[in-house]
Amino acid sequence: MKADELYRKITWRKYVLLLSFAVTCIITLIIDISTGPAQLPILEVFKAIISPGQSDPTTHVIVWIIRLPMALMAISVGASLAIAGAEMQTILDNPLASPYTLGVSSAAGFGAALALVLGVGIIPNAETFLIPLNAFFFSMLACLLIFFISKMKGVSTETMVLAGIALLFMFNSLLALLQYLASEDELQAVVFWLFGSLLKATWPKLGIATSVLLITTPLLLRDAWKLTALRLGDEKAKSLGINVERLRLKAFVWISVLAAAAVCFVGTIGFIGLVGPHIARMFVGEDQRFFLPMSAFAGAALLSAASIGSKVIIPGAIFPIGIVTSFIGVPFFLALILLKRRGFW
Amino acid sequence: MKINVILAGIAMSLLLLALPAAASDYTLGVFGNANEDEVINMQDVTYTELIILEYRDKTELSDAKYDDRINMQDVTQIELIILGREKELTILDLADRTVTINKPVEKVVPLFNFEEYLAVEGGEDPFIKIVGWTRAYWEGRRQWIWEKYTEAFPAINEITDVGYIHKGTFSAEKTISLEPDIVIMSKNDYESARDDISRLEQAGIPAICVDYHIQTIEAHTKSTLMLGYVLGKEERAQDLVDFYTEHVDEVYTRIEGIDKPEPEVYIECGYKGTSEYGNTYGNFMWGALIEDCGGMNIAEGVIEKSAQINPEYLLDANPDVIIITGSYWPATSDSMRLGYYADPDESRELLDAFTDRPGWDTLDAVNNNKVYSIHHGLSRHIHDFVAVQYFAKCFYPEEFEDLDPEEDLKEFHELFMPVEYSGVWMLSIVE
Repeated sequence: MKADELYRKITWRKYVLLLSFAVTCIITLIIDISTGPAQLPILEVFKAIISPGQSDPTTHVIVWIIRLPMALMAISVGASLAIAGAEMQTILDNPLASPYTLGVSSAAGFGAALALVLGVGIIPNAETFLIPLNAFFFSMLACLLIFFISKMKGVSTETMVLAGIALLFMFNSLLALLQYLASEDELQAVVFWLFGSLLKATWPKLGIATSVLLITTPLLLRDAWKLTALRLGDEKAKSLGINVERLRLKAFVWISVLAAAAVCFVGTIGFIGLVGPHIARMFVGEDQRFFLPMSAFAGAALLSAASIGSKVIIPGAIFPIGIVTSFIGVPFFLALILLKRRGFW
Repeated sequence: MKINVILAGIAMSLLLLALPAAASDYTLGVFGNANEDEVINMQDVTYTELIILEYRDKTELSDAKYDDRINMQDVTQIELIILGREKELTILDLADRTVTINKPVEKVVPLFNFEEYLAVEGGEDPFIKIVGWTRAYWEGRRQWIWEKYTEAFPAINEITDVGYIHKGTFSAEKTISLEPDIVIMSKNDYESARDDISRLEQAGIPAICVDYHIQTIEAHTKSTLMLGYVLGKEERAQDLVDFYTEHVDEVYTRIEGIDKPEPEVYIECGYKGTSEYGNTYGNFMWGALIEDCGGMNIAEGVIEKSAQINPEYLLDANPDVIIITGSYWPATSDSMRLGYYADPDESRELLDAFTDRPGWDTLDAVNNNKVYSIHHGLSRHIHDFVAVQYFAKCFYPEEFEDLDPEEDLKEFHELFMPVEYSGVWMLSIVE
């Protein structure tokens, strides 16, 4: 009876934490939407959101075409990357893992650079989606390679990490080769793509990224218990009747799709996928039922805050969001590490 | 004896009276230019003689032989320079480096600013002295210019490539093996290539810096005149400078007299096409040119050098004039296209597509058809006078109605360029 009560107490506390992070996300989202060089009054912004068509055309465009997709994209991408990072850390049993550990970002970067430098696309006649499609295609290609290598050699964390690192270096070299071939203008475009930017956000892109998030998250949550057990170590998980290798590969596929879909639209915003899960773990621990959504909220809030920062630092210009993310995330992360009494892995 | 001294004294006094103080605005950076004007002539001989007789103080460039002594050898050197027979020439280049070169210069490796080099060199085959160069200056970077030149001078395909400083591919070893008399580079590249330049110097190959990037009349003038003395084409260089200053002075003088509110201007590099905003410029390159031509750059104070603007800021600023720069950037199919092989209808269609960006239908510039395009390579060059003219025309159409930048660019080609003008280099959204 006492244990039951204790369990309920802990669970209840975790629900409260979860809720408060969700609220934080909403608050940063609202601030994000209200911030911008046009300095529209907040009331006007909300009027434009609630009754579109009645506000003046410039306000309408600013709110609906520029601010909303960017702000929502920050939430969606932040959540996607953090979930992908959380699961990557889980299946690789490694606190340093992130969605990019297995070469997703370098493959995506190469795909994007291919489009930017040579104008070469995988699917013809897809002008607006040329760069994201290329980025997505190549990150999936990298994942497939790792998938098959793992299948052949057995799905241990070592095989996956080593195969991933090999691919990472290969794609980095290919990217460097393209940068070598590029003219200055092209080179700059590639560098800026790699910085990451929410400016590329549009409603269709937001729709795709969010759909992927909404489809993969329940699929991962379905395996929440098994994934939690995986953290006990392969042997113990196996003794609990879990097909460890199958679980690992399955989770890996969803992570890859999730990370690739997020990265291909906004460029490589690193860091979130590493820090989001750690923040979540510090608050709610390893229980995937809480850990997974908590990671999503932490990542979303962090990227949303970074999005505000990128607009505020130099009003009128857009400061590269990847840089802001690190500036905001690193001190916060370090503070958490210093304040935390117990181990955080 | 006494009479001689008196006569000499009288002659000197007369010379003193006749000798104008440095009359020109810009100093030619060649040692021997004792009176610090734009040219080395008999006045410098007299001036140096006066320094020897201690009637005048030493000037920075009076030591023509560059041996720390002012004596009759310097006078002889100046006279040789005037005759074009000097064995050595010491130069104060645009990076404030003192460089001594052997004359005559017969083998050159230019690393940047080919247009200026060719304009000063002139002649039937202005490439004749080039033994190696940075191929990527044109090829890939300004592909249509490269094609235009290779069409007219197929032999330039065979010129040895020494790599591109910007990309870290410049090879000092390759350059040394070509045994050039001089390497000509842009001041901008000097810092990043410092080690390589010192290797060249150790091999006895001097490198001089020109500077057209800073976009001042002074730096343009000094760079061009210096090239003239290096290549032994002083007159052509002077003609080029005169042509340039005449055109820009005309515009700047008139702008000073205009008493109208300055139009607000947004300029963007049309490289990324319509779906994504390209870079705009702060008080730098195109941005600086807007201010020079009496416009108000909306990115001033927002963008440091060049970066994307927040589209929201642009919509809120609502500029009076929008300029999209064009070139040949095949990687992006809807990038702005201008240059030697551009077609006016196709280019106008591409420019028109930029105005379909979300929210642009609310902009004054778009509604008043004040959207223009100019070739991206028309800034930071001796031919940027065309951009100055065109900008002035875009900002103050009535005041500059008589100006015809395209015609002047044609004339510039006829007078100074080895290839003929063709294609489209500037364009308004309405015909």
